[in-house]
Amino acid sequence: MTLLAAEGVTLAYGATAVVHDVSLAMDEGGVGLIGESGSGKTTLARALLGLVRPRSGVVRYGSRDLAALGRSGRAEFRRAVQPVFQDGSEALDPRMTAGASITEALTTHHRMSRAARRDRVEALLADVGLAPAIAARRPHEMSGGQRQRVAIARALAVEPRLLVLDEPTSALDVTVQARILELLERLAAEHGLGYLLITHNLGVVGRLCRTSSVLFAGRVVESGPTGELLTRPVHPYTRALRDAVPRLGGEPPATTGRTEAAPAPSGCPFRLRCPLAVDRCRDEAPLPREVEGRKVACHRAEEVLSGLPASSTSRAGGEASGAPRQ
Amino acid sequence: MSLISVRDLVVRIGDRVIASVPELDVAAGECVALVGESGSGKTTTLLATLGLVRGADVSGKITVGDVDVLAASPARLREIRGSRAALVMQSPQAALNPTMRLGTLMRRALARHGVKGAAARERAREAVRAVLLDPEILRRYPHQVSGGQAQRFAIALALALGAQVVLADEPTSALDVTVQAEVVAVLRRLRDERGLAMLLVSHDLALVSTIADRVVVMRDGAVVESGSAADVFGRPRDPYTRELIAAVPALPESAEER
Amino acid sequence: MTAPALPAFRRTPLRRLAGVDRLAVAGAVLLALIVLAALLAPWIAPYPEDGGSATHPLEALLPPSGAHWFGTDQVGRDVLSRVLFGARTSLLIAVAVLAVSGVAGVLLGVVAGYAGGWVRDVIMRVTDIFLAFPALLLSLALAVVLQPSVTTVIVAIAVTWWPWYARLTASVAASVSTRGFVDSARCLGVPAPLIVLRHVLPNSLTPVLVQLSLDGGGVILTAAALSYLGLGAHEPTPEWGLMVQQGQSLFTTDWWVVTFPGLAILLTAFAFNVLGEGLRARLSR
Repeated sequence: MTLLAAEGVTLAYGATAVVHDVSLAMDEGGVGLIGESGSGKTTLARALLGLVRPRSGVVRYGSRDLAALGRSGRAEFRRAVQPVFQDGSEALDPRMTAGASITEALTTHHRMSRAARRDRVEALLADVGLAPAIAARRPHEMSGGQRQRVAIARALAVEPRLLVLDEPTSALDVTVQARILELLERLAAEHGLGYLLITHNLGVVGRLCRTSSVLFAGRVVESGPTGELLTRPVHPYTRALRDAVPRLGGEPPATTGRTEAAPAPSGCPFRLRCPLAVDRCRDEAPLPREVEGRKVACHRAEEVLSGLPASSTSRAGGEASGAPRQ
Repeated sequence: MSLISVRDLVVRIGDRVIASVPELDVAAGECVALVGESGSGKTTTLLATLGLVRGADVSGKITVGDVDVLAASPARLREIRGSRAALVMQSPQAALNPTMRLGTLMRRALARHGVKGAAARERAREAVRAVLLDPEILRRYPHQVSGGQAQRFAIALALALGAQVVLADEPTSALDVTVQAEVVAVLRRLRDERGLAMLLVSHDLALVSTIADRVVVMRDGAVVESGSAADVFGRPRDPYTRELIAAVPALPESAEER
Repeated sequence: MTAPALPAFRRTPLRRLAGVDRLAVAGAVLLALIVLAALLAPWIAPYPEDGGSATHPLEALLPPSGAHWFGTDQVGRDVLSRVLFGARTSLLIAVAVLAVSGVAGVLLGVVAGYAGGWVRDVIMRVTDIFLAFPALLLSLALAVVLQPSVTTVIVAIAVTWWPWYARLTASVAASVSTRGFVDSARCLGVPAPLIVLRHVLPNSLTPVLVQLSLDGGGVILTAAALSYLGLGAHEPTPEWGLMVQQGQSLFTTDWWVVTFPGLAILLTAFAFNVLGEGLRARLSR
């Protein structure tokens, strides 16, 4: 059953829309949202958390419109959906100890005796792999990984059903990143949690998410089973993203030389960066449509799938890097 | 011949050794990467190479070109940093004067080195092209360019001044992957075509493996493993290196390439 | 004020304070001495009864001597005793003004900063209206309307003082409100008033506390000015501004009557400023 969903959500700051008509559904298990800076992914996360209201469209909690929830419905939503932000040092009040931060989460919805609170804090800290002594520390007295674990413990304190993870590991060292991802994977399995994982790192969604959506300039350009997106990406942007990820011992990442072009104001927003752009892309914005088990917003999706541009995609940039190929 | 040579470098704060590197050489046309996590001493080592470590005791011998860094006068050090060696930091935009067009910035830097007029303009355009930017960018202000463009401009600035050495501290970790790929392409090209010596600090092993010729793995201020990139990544000897490698999120191979 | 202590201070070992923050420490020590003098006035003043309505016509206008270190005034009261008792009045005014305007300004500011939107607009417009009047003029007008007294001085100054704190706090609170831990509390369902009190307020206080300590001197000067103009404390209340006013015509002949209360004003204002500057320097580092 769908726990939380965005249906045709458009989000705007003032007159500028940053997210256009995005639909996304989360249930138990992991869903990935892939996007780079400026793609609108964080704004979308804020809308799903009920922190900003959509300009149009609906965020649904279960079957109910989030914006129309009453007091008790809202409290229920707050208990069910919790965020984990990028940086534990931002997400924890710098003046509060870890114990106080977690206790705040415990006591917001329930009264608890002092002893019960202490036990719960200890249990939660143990659950995220921290010693009870951490409870007395303030954020600046902890390492980045410890802060993120405390932030996760705080989110778990209300026994949520869904976590919205906004770049939960990108501020951390690689080995710490790997441990936090393992932790999230384990917790999700143990507590039967659903989660939305927002990231720019394709390797991370590959491991944790069954389905994923790729966001470009506030629009979902491709969505479907994560494995499919990573092994057989169709949208040229998904391909560019995948090709840009450096691989251990692999070839140097491919480039287009047009990476920094701004999204096009009309037609397909990706066309100024797209190696496959044709006249139609300038005249007509592609709508997402069903193509081989996924949704793609690209006029040339079928051609890509039938193998046409394997050589003419972003690989063109290879010459620029002066790298010998194969 | 090595353009950067470090021998018996020890950086101490009080009794605590924060970086200790017995031997490190970077030759022309070579990229050496210092990898490790925060607190490993990799950035300290890079900064020490340019005499930029403050509030700590630095001992050993460091040469950049023909200059003995630890014995050099402050004026000499400034000269090295200005023209011989380019320091590329995580967020280049912060280092660019926001009130000046990029072209003006570059012209002033060149004028300080005696290059003026048409020669300076030509040098600026050539350097900008070398980092795969459109010379049109010289007319823009720092806030009008993206992070990746600013990063490449910072490299171009050093090139125009005749830098033979590039020291880069996490040059792409603030950038999107697609932009990171472009910056890496530029660095590779400069190394191959211009024979620049590069010292790269990064915690991203996958990234390092696509550009570095040799790798030095650091942990808690000490070197735990060093060798050619192929050896270190292909046959890591130290358990910590293996842990770092295992932590890199793997991407499934794409279908077409199989 | 009931505000919690500065976080940076609570965690700082004293020896570091002494080394790095000489300025702040100097200001704090000086101010502590003045407060101590005010508190102990009845015991350390050589002629405690002169702090009140006592008169000694036969001892009027004696120059400084062993018996009267600061000399005596027109009605024979010991100037040192009156300066010491005057510290009570001046500090009371300063503390009361800062507490009233600080609490009002900070509360309004923090609400405006967190709520944003029309709430912020309304609060900020009101603030702007108050700020549009020259402060001293507004205080003067108020003091004229009300009966001259110490309370009048407090009210008159506090009314012109709070908008500064409201404005400062609003801008700090607005930026604190965008931080992750505030979003995190909202996502937990913590009620807005609690978020403001628990997270936004404590994290917005630091610059206001610096400003408050910088302003202490200004309040004392303004209070002295109002009393000097006859709109504040009146005889026989010992108040520095009033003493300066009463002694100024005697400056050429009996300089001590005006000089010592004047120096007291200067020294106290200076102590507040030094403390404030010291705090600012350490917190902006």
